Amino acid sequence: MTKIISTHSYRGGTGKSNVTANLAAVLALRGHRVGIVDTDIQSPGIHTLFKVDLNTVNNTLNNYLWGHCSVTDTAVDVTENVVDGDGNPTVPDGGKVFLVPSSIKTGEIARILKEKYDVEDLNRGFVDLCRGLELDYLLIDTHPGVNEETLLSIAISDALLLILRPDIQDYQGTAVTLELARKLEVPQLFLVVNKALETFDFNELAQRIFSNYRTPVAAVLPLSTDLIQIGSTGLISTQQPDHGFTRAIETIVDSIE
Amino acid sequence: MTSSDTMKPALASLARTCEAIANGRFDEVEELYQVITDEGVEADIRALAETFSGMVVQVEAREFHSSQLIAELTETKRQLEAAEAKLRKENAELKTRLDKFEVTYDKEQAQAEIEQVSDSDYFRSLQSRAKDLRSRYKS
Repeated sequence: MTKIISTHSYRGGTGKSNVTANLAAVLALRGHRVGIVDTDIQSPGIHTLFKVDLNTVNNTLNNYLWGHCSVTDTAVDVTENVVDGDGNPTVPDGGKVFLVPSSIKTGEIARILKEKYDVEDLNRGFVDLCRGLELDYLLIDTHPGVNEETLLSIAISDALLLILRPDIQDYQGTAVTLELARKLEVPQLFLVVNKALETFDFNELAQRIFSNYRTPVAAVLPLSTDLIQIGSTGLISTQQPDHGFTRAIETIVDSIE
Repeated sequence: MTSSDTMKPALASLARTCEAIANGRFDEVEELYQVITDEGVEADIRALAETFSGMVVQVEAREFHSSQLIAELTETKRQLEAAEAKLRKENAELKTRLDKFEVTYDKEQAQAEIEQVSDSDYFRSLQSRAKDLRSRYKS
């Protein structure tokens, strides 16, 4: 039995991949088997947080969707790359993190966008991955905006994390995605406010957003320079366990675990 | 020496002193003291000069007090203006912060976007299968 968690944001640049990767790390630290699928085929990026060199990877999600391999062939075991501040692996026995990356080769990105693929294949891939790797959690890093792949990812989710920045464009997009998720009867919906200025009163911000969307705000994550520095290349949750960002990620895991 | 010989210059001194005081020159009262101490001058005139010198001291004291008051008022006004400018700036900052907290968006446009997606065939099919799709991960 696998719990599916999708992270989505209406626009890019909200820190979606960062939140997804750190959620995976925290779940693995608690001894769970976690899979991550980077369905952001147009602009993949989550692999960098796990230090995966895609030039050395033969099979990506693209190859699976073209029918060149099984989905489990595309999963890279990145458990050893979940490291603490000294670079030592931190995932205990039993915990696992697998990543299904998307291709970063421009030709392959162009091809999949041009030729399209059957969204049902993606769903079959998710099922096979969960069974094949005996996953406790499958995290889907979606493409921003609303397309068929995103809607499928939302529809199969037990929990959907909608990541937004506190600004007008994100407020509107979040309202749209939330309503669609409600129509798809997603059991658990959470909002994660990212990149909030540290001068904000986070509690007040969370309260206002909650009362507007009638959806729990799982966390308000700060915008800080150290987050930007580590966040673009590695996992904050294992490198800085006491950081405010890490504690916020732990809170999210507490509510979905 | 007749009384008019000493009275004339004494009265002229008084007149000059009076003019100096009128123009705020309080230190030009030497002539007044000369009249007071000149025993050749008539007692009435000397008494007048003495009263006059008493008046000079009081006027000077009042003027000094007034200019102090004006300086204090000017400083208070400057402080008030600075405080007002600070308040105005803080108000503007608070309003910006409040605007950021305000969860506002175009609800009609959002509704139109929702309908555009939810009226599609794909969404309807997904909606009818969603529960079933989720259950496939639970076996």
